[in-house]
Amino acid sequence: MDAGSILLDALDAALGPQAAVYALAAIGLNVHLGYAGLLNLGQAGFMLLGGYGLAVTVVLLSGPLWLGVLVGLGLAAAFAVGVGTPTLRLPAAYLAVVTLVGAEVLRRVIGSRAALALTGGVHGLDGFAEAFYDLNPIPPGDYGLWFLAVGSHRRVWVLLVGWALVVFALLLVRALMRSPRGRTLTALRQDDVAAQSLGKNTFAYKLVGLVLGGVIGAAAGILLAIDQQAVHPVTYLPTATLLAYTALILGGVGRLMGPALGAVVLWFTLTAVDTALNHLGTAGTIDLTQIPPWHVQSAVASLALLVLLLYRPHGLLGTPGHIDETTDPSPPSANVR
Amino acid sequence: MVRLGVAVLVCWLGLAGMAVAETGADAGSGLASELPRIMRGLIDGIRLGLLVAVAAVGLTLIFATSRLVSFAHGELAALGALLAFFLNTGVLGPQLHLIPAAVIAIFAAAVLGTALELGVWRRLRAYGSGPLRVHATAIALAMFLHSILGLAWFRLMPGGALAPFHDYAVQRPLLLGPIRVTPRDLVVISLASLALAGVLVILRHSRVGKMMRAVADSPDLAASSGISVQAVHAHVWLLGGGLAALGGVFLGVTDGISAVMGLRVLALILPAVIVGGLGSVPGAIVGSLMVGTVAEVSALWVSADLALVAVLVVMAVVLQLRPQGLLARSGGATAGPPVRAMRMKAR
Repeated sequence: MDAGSILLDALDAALGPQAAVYALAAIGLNVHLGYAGLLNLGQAGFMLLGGYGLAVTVVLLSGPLWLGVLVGLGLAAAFAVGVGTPTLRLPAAYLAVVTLVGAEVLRRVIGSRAALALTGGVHGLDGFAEAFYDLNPIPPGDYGLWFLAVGSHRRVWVLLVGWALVVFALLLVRALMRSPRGRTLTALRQDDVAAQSLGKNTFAYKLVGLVLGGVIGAAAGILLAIDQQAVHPVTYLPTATLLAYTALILGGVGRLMGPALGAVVLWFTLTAVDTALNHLGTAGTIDLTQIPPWHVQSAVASLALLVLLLYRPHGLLGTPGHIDETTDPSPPSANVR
Repeated sequence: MVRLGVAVLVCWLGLAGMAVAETGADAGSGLASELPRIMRGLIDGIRLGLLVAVAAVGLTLIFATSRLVSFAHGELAALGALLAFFLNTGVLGPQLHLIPAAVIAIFAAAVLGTALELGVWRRLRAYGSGPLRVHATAIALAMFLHSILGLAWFRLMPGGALAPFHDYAVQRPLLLGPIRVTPRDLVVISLASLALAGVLVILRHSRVGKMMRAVADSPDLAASSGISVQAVHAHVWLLGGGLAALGGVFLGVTDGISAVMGLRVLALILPAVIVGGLGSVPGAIVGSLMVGTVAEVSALWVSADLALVAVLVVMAVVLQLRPQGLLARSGGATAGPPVRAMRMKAR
């Protein structure tokens, strides 16, 4: 077991495009859970709409890259309105159920045989990302940072754009949540009834919050599609939502930098575990043919999330008690008893 | 209620319209010749509905007593099926007959459910956790169980995919009029109905059932009547876990076992309890039957994936028009009339 190479791999992944993708997804969830007090269990669905919106527009309609991005973001906004309208006036669990079922149905429909002509069905789509890489101003070659080999000029381009998007999203969220309307949104998370009695349309605020977080999630999906240069139904299983949540809770829900920090730490940890397992496998200590990597990833992440939620729900940066501050607005009383 | 009835009628007319359009497309075939297929779809739908109901009833009871939507319930059903599969068909297992294997699996799931209540939900309740934290924990738990079961399935069936139990796998169907059913379908339908009837009887007439209903109505009143609310929660999870596993075994018998069946089951029981009314046991049964028939009848003309869209539409319509569900009273209900606070012997 080479600790050095494990650490290098982990560091490389922690600063890599996948970490940026899940940082974005977690920022979207932070808007939902941390600021608006909504439990969206279908972030994978928003990511899927972003990625497939881009892919279908470019591949099928031969549209330009910017149009594909707009389509992806627009579909996510529509999905948010669709799931939010029947559920935002109800207790929190209803949105959770509808987003979970909705995202899974979306994934199944897009991967179905009937949608083959539109979405590539089970095989997915590819060949839509070249327009992005054509914009690359970095000269060809391999790049590194001191001891860390970052990769080809293509990867550096994705990294730069990805993390720039993360910074942009953070600044956007910061600006919005500090605005008067943003403050209303966070206030109604803590006391919905008080906000209503002041005449605030809490339903509208929550819906806007849901749309905003969902659109950021779609941006994450677009970045993922560009990094992988393909979209595939199996990428958008609820596991994606789980990873985003683990990143969010680990970093600290309700704090601005929480999701970004959480994504970096999570990706570091998951890659370290993965590489360590690989080393054990090649050394013959364990039999790797028996273990599919994706299940190990989600097992580690979900266990971490469980432990965090039970013992330290505020994670690294968060304030204790933040996550318990919401009460459901309508009867029956929904604090767990 | 009238609006809801109209909406459901519209959904069914839509489905019927699809059927007519489909048959009209085939030259020379009429609706009459489609009738056996539709009958088959209805039978399959009722069967699926009953099996889903067995698992859904546990979910709705858990919600009734603790206001928690247990997302892990699908995985508990899958655990039941997988454990029974390992004991029955697994190469490394004891190769038991399906019935003892199922009994062991149900017992194990019931124990796990109780352990979850004692170790997880009781702790969160003691912290005074809000609904966000509790439901986030529920989904984390579900995903954890899903990963563990996925890893286990990969060991048992390295090819992945779907597999049947060793027993009752291949049967010759009987002919009852225009419909063909296998004996195992009939057995499964009867056993599921028996289980559901048993739950209703327990809730209405047994002491434990009355205590469950009391806690569902008002934990404070129940506690002040001398009922141990903590014990009731443990019993609800015992029952819920066992029922989930039973439903999982039934579904494994009729549809086969796979690593992803937990998610598939969840995608059926969640709409079922929402349509029927979260917290209402008869509602869970009615909702499951509706979801089952909508799914199977739609699957006659579209693939199974798209049939789920019809289920989602029904759920969305119910949420929009009658969010508390078809059979729930506005305050959230359980089977039977509310138990008045009466003096009960402290346990």
